[in-house]
Amino acid sequence: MNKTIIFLALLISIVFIHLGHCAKARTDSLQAENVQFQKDNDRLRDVIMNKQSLMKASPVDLVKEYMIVINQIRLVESYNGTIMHVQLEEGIKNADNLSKHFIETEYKGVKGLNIQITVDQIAKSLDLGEILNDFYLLEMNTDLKILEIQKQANSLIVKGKIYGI
Amino acid sequence: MRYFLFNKEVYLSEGGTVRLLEKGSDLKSFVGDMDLARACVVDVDIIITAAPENPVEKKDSVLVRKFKQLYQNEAYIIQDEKIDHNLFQVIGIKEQKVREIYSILPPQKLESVVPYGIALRNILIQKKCDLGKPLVFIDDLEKERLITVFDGLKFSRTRIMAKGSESLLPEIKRSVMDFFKKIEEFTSHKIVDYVVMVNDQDLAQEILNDENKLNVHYLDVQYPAIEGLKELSTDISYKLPEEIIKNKRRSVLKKNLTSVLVSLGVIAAGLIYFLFNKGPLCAVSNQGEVISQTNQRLNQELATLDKAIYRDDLKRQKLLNYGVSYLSLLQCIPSSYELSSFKFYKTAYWNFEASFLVNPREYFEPILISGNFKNSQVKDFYMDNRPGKRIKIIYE
Repeated sequence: MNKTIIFLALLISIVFIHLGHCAKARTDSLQAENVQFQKDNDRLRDVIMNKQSLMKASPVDLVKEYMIVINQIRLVESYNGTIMHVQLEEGIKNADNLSKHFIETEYKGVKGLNIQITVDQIAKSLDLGEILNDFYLLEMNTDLKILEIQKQANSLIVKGKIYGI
Repeated sequence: MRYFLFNKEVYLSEGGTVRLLEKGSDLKSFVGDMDLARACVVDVDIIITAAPENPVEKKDSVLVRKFKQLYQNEAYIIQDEKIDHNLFQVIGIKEQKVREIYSILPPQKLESVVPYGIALRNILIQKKCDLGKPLVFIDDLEKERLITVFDGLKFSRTRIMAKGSESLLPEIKRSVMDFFKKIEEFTSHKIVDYVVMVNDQDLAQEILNDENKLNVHYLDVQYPAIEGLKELSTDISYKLPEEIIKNKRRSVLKKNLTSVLVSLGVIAAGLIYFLFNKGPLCAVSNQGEVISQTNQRLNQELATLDKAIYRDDLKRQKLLNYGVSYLSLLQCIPSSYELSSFKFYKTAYWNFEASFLVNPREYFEPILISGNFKNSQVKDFYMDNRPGKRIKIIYE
């Protein structure tokens, strides 16, 4: 009887010790998580502080911004006779639903759309420098960010990302 | 401490003197307000028997059965002591006698009750008497003589002789013979080879006069059993059955209480360990909650802010005019080269890589651009049987 009582007490004690171990392990894990969260919070505070100096403006709908970029390209085409075509980076030329191709960006809550502009033909009156300058202006006038410009053989390919919400 | 010797009369030792308390006297009045007492009893029955030492329950059962076979008419309280491997001396005192003693001396005041033989053996050991040989001890009391035979730890039932009744020698011989008859299967000693010890010098001389071949010794202790009680070294003590049950109950209760306390202690240790770790967990968990909420709030704040500032931030990143960069590089390239390919790409900074090939039948001239561009590298290469220069510029 006494042995049973002591045995049961030992069992209960072992359960408590096990629970204690679990609690300790959980505490260590939570502490590590907290340190990580705290570091992230500090980083976020710094980022917010740095970004607060930037000029605030209303965000633009991404589909609308895409259309603006396309219009600008058409304007450049009509203006200097260069022929370009635009497609989404995955090679899709005429997407029915653009929102399917939206991706996350470095800005929280702001979406991105990767596009690729291929210059098929450069007008004879222009040189590459002027075309590149047109892309610079396109970038400055829209929410397009150029990521890469590559000229190889007779083709000029520009890759970029359009931002919006 | 007082010491009692219970025979037909009772001997009481207190403060160094021994008194004989006559039968019928009011013994309780002698006990009075005494502290503690020890007593020895002359009237005991003994058997030597073999029994397995383990388990204890089996040993007890064998010893009780064998004792009862011999002394079945009366109720005894028996105790045993180990004599050798699987050999025990079982000593019984009539329950009536024990009750009589406890009626005079209350249990709480009586520290131990032992057989006379054990008390006597104790003093013999203390006086360094040789118990390796059979020994007959004659205790010369006031009114009687007590004859006890020893063989090692074994001892006989004490024979009581009234003083002046008959010659002592035949009684000694009879005692020895009786004892050796009882223990013959458990001893290697011979009856003829024994020592007689007497605590009275005249009596010792008297025995020698009767039988000068006997080896007679004198022990200068007037009341050896009472002296033997003073420094007892035995676990044997006779108690009343109800007292034994009471003690057993008390012992069981104590055991149970100890078990409960140990169990509670064990549980408490586990619980303390658990609480010791649970406390910090709650604190860290609460702290984590606060940090997590702050993180959520900051993320929301950043999301709102990002939506508001992303256009301005994008503008600030658009610092490189690709056209100007391209044309600036072309100005540094001699006319003997033609552009093969170029690439603007972004890592941490904007990179501009351009490859130029030498026109056919033109010189492979050096290109010096380091003055115009801070971070630039020019490397030679060879393609389609034409040498060329590959230029890399980093816009930091």
